[in-house]
Amino acid sequence: MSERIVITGAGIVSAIGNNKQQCLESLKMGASGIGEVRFLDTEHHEFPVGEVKMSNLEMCNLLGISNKQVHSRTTLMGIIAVKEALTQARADSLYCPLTLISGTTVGGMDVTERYLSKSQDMTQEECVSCITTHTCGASTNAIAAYFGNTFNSTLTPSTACSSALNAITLGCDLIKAGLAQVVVAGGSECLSLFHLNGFKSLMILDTEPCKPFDNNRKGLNLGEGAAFVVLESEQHAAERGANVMATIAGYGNACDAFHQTASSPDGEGAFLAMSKALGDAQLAANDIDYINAHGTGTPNNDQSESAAIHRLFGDDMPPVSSTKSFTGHTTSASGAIETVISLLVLQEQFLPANLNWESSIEDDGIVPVRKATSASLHNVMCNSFGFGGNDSSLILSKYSE
Amino acid sequence: MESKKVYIKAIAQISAQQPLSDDWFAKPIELQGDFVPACNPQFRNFLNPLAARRMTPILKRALVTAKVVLNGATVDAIVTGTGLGCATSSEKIINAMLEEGEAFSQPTHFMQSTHNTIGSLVAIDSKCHAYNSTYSQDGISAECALLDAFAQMRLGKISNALVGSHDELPESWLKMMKRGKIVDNPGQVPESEASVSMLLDSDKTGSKCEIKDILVAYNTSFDALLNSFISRNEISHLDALITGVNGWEKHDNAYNALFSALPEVPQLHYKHIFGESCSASALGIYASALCLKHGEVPVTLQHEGKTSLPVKNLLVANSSGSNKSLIFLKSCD
Repeated sequence: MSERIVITGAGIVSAIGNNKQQCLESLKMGASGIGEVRFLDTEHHEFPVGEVKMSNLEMCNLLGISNKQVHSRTTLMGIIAVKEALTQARADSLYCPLTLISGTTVGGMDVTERYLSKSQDMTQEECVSCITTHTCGASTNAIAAYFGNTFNSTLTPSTACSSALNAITLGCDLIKAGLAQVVVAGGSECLSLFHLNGFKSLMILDTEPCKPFDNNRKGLNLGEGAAFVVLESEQHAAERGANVMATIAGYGNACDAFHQTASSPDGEGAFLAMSKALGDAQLAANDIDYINAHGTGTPNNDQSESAAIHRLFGDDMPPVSSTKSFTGHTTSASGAIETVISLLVLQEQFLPANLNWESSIEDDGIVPVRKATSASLHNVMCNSFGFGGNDSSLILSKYSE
Repeated sequence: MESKKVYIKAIAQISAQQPLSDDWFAKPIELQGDFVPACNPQFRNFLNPLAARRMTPILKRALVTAKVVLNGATVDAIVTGTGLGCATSSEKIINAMLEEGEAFSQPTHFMQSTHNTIGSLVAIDSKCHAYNSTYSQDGISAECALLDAFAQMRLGKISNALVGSHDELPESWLKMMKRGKIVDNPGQVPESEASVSMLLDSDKTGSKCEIKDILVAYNTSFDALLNSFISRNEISHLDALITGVNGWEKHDNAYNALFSALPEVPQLHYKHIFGESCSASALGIYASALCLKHGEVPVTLQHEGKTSLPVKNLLVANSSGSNKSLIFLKSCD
C-alpha cells in the first residue's frame, strides 16, 4: 500500500480574507466577500464579484517588493498564499528543495491587458515583459522566484476551473511515485477583463449575489484568489516533526466528455470523479460527512452536480454547501481555495453555509447547509469541475496516527 | 515495490515538416525566414468536415495526431501540454476587446480559449471519460504532461495514456516576439508550430522506446540537474545527448554546463529541422524515439561527435527560460 500523504501547511487569500484566520471568521459569521467591483478596471459594475480586498500596490507593500516592476495580480496573490503555507509548515527548516505546482488559466492576462491599449507603440522591453509575464507557466515561475532557492521545480496545471485541484492531486502522485519529496500545490487566479467579458458573453453571470443550488439561480459571480497546501508523506512529516493538519484520503479525476462548456444532465464526469475519489480513499459513500460542492450557481452546473451527488449518495446524502456564495467563483484557484476551506471546517468541526439559498431545485434538488453549524466531521469531499468536463474530487480526512 | 515500466508505443507529429510522416528522417524540408507555419495534412481525411469547421488549427492538428496514435485504442488517461494554449481563440478575443472595448461578445472563441480545450476535445471525440489534465509550462509543457502520465504509470494507477503537446503561433504573438527581438536573431532557427501525440503503454510489444526517467526543473543549472539524474539512474554509457539548441547564443548558453559535464558524449540537434515553439521539445522526443526504434541517427541531426550505432540510449535535454528538463530514453532491445 502506498504511503499516506498529509497536509502540513496551508495558505489562502480570497474575497473573505487575506489568510486562514480571516477566512475562517468570515465563514463562521456567514459574511460574504462578494460586492461591487473595485480593483478591476471594468465598465461592468452590474456584476458583483468576489475581489481580494487589496490593490496590487498594497500586496506589493505587504510582500516588501517593488511596485516599479511589472507584476501579475495572479502572481502577487499566489505569493501571499504560498508564504502563509510555507510559514505554517516550517518549510524553512527543510533541507530538500520543494516542488511548486500552481494551477491557473488566466495567468498574467491582467498584465497583457494593461499593455494592450498601447500595443501599437510598445517598446522592445515592453514586448519582452508582456511575453514573459503573460503565460500560465510564467506566473507560476514568478511566484517561485519570490522564494529564492526554495523551489527547484515548477509545474502549471491548466484545466480551467479545476486547475488547482488537479495541482494538488498531481502533487500527491509525484510524492507517491518518488518523483518529489515536498510539494506546495494549489492555484492562483486574478480577475481579468478577458474572462469577465468571456463569462458575460456566455450569459452565465448573475447581476445579484449568486444562489448556488437554488431553484431560481441565475448564474455565477466571478471571484479571485489563491490557496496552497504543503504536501508530504506521513513519514517525511513525522521525521521532521511537522504538525499534520489533515490527510489526503483520496482523489479522482474524470472527464465528462460531453461538451466544451456545458455539463451533462446526468453529471457523468462529476459522478465518476467522486466515485474514483471514494475508491481511492477506500471509503463508502456514507463515510463522507460533508461535501464542499463545486456549486457555481449556474443553472447547468448545479443541476448536473445535484444529479451526480444523488446518483452516488442516494437518499443518504451528507450535508452539502457551496462556499462560492462567499468567495465568488475563483475559477482556476477554486479547487485549492475550497480545499483549504474544507481543511478549515474539518479542523474546526463545522459545516459552512450555502448563502442566499431559498428553494430547492425542482425534481432533484439538494437542500444545502443554510447557516454555519457545528458537526462531527471525519471525511470531507471537495468537488472542482471545469470547462471541457475536467472534473475532479478530493477527500480530506481528520488525521489520526 | 517494483515500479511499472513506460514505453512509447506510437508517436505522430504535425510540424514544419511533412505531416504524419517520417520523411524528414531522410529528406528534411529546409526551413527559412523567421516563421514557418505547420504543414497541415488533408484534415478532411481524418475529421468530419462539419465539426472541423468550428475548430481552430491547433484543435484540428491535435485531434488528428491523437486519432493517428490512438488508432481506435481506449486509454486510461489523456494528458496534454501546451505553452500558449489556444492562442488563436485568445487572440480573437483580445482583438475584439481592442476594437470594441468591453462591448464585445465572443462566446465561441471564449469557449475555445482555455488551454484544456485541446484535451477535452480529444476526450469528447473519443468518448473517453478517463483521467484528463493539461499543463502549461512554457517550453517544457510536454515534459510536464509526460511526467504526470509517467508518475501514474509507475504507480500502476493507469496502464496506458495519450500524451500530447500542441502549440500554434498567431500573428499578433509573432509580431510581439519580433518587436521584443526574441526571434530572428543571428543563427536562430525560425519560429514554428507543433502538434505531437504519443501513446504510452506499460506493455513493451511493438514499442518505439522506453522512457526511463523524466526530470523537470526550475532555477537549476544543467550540471546540478544532471547530478540529480545520475543519482537516480544507473548509467554506464550515454550514446548521445539531444538538445533544444536553437542557434541563438543567448538561449543556447544554458546548455554549456551540460556539454562541459559530458564532454565525450556526441551532440544531436533537432530544432533546425522543426523550428522553435513551446511544444518543440515534444518533437525532440519524437525524433529520439524514431532514432531508437531504427537504431540509427540521420546525419541531419548530428552536430558534434560520432554516435556509435546502433543507438541504444539518448538523453533529451531542454531549456526554456528558467525551466529545464531531462528525459532518458532507451531502446527496447
